[in-house]
Amino acid sequence: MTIDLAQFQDAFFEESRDAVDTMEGALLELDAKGADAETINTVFRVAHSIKGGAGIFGFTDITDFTHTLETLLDELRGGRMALSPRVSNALLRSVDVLRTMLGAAQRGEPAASTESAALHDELLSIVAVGTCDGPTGTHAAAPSATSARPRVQDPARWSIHFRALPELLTRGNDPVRLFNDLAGLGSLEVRPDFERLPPLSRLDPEVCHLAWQLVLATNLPRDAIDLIFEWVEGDCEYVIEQLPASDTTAVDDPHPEEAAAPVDAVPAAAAPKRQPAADAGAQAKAATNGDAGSIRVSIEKIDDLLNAVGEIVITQSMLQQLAARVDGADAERLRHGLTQLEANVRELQESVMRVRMLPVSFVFSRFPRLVRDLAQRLGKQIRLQMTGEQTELDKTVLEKIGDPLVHLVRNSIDHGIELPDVRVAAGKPPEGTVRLHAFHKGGSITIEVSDDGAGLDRERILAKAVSRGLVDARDVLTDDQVHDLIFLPGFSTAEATTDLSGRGVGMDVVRRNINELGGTVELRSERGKGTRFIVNLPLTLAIVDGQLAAVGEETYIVPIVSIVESLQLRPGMVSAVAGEAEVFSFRGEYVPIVRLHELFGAPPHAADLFEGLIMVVEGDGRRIGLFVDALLGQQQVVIKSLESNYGRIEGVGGATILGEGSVALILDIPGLIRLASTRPPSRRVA
Amino acid sequence: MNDAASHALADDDETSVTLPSSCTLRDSLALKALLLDQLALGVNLLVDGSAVERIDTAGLQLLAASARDIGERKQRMRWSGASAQLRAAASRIGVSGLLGLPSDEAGPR
Repeated sequence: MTIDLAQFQDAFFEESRDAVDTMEGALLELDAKGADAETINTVFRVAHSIKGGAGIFGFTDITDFTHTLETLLDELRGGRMALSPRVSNALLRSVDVLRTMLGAAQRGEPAASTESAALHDELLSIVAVGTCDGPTGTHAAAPSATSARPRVQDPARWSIHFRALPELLTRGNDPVRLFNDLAGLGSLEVRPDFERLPPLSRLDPEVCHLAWQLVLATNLPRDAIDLIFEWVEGDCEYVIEQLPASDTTAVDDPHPEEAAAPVDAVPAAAAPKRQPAADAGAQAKAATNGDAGSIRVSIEKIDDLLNAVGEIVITQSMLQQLAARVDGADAERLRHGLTQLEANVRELQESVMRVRMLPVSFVFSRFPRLVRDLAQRLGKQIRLQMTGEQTELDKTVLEKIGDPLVHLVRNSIDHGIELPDVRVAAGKPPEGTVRLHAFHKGGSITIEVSDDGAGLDRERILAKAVSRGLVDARDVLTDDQVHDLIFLPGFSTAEATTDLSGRGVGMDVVRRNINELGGTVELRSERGKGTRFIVNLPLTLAIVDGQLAAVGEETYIVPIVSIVESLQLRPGMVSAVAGEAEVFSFRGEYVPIVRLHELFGAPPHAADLFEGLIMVVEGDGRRIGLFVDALLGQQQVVIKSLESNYGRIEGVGGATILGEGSVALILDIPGLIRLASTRPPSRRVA
Repeated sequence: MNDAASHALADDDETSVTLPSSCTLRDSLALKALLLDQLALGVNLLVDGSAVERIDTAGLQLLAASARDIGERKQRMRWSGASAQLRAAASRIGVSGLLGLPSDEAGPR
């Protein structure tokens, strides 16, 4: 049977990326806590799994690289090498290189690069030095895994018959390494069987033609042996049998190959544990599918499903409006059925939405490495605290929030946390803390990035803003207003720009990216105590809970999450500040009034402020009073991208189709506030 | 193979071959060709394995097949040098005897 392995390649790449993430997490754990066998085993397993997959698909550069990585890990695992900073750094760089190699291989490009070759050489050099020197200086003096183990009077003796299947070597397995692992469990005697070794001229050099009869004496349980053979399952036949205590069978012939142990020396009763790799496709599936309790589904399929559900929601809404006008004996039953349909559709919609949800750890997982590397480069001591990693968020939102969060964390490390001596001089511990905290808040999610660093310098920010003409020196600004200035394009107060976050192109982009997700970012900072960025995000980009508002013949949808309050103005409440913008007093502050019909050129039914309604909406820490004719109902609407179906409109986040079939624009409140601030202010007072 | 392996006639009834630093699966086709060339000369073989830094079962299997072929022709294979890595790997899978390699004093790890 011929199997087209290409169909499994995407799954291999996807699985391998997950595996590399796991590897990175485990390596960071090793870096922080020192070498522990379980974690090294985890990294080893990951490297082995990638190597196996790469071998199946013929990505030899990746196979070779992971092979060397495995060798190094094996040295660590066997206690023959210490986890020095050099080793630790090389292992972490391997993660980066593997990601690059996988990306290149997926694009059909050569996986090896100058960088991967250099690191490969370094890994080999580490292995060579480690092998010669060992953790204590000389290999001879280094306690091996065997000698370090306490000796017990009578270790159990295991007979192991091992025969390679043809694919063993090309799948990245090597009996040399396998037997090294076994020798690490105790004392190993090896007798090769050359019976099937053909003459050199007929020998396929990529096929292992050898078999072995091994005797292992160990105090460890059988599970320890099985664990080692787990790596070669499917690529060999092996039989493990405990020898009776009185059996002194040993491979003591100094030239055992001249009297090769007959294969039938293996007890007939013990059926060989044959794991033939007869079906390469099944192997590939097994290598890439993970456990059988889950399946991988492309995001496009889920989006198609979600779109279909969205259409059902619209149709159901239309039917409900129609049903409201139907009379007769069956009208009540029809309405009852539609109510039932509405409940079912909502449940279906929520189920599909949940499929798209991923825990925030999907994004947070990159930060331990980031913080470690940057702290090392800047000579700072930084502890990263993460909480709420299991909070779930839509996959698309998560993917897009990654870069802004990276920038905020970099900003905290670069500009927030002080150097250890500066901190000590300020009466703080030398180690600073960066916190990432995610939690649900109403119908949205909040991610906070905070640090206990120096906080923002109000005077420096103001001075910079004045020098750039962004504010007038005579302006009286609150702390929050001053802090908000750092989100202006091109604003940077760094003494010297670094390649981390000081180019002054960052914070405005961060805010814009978050706004584009329908979210907001706010900032709280206290001099000497630290800074906190608060990012609010919608749970999903697919649906929104909206308030329908009428302006003339048009209906607009305002995300409920942005609404602070709705009210009707009375004469005397409205005034003009400095003879310019119309404002009204709301909870102790003056809120500017924005007439929605003026922004979008829609003729209103209510031109007078006292005839219509004001919706106080908030975005990025700023509030406006949005003037509309009237409020209609509230409903959950399916967001259709205006950008991909029409074009980008400032202040509009998308569109939806209402029950009666008309299109309504969904307002992007932060964008709308920005748009309003660029327009000439309304000067009419009421 | 990473390094250029060399070979030359040592004397009339012996040819010598220098193994490259890497004798792994990846290098196995080239190593097989190199060894076949030597075996075709039909004389004793002097192998210099002192430069071998990496060797796996694939490489050792080729050497084992060569040693057996030479032995069956009543000729001999001997070593002018063998690196610690080569000796350790050969000892680990039990082929030192067939290869006629000097024993790995440190023993396989």
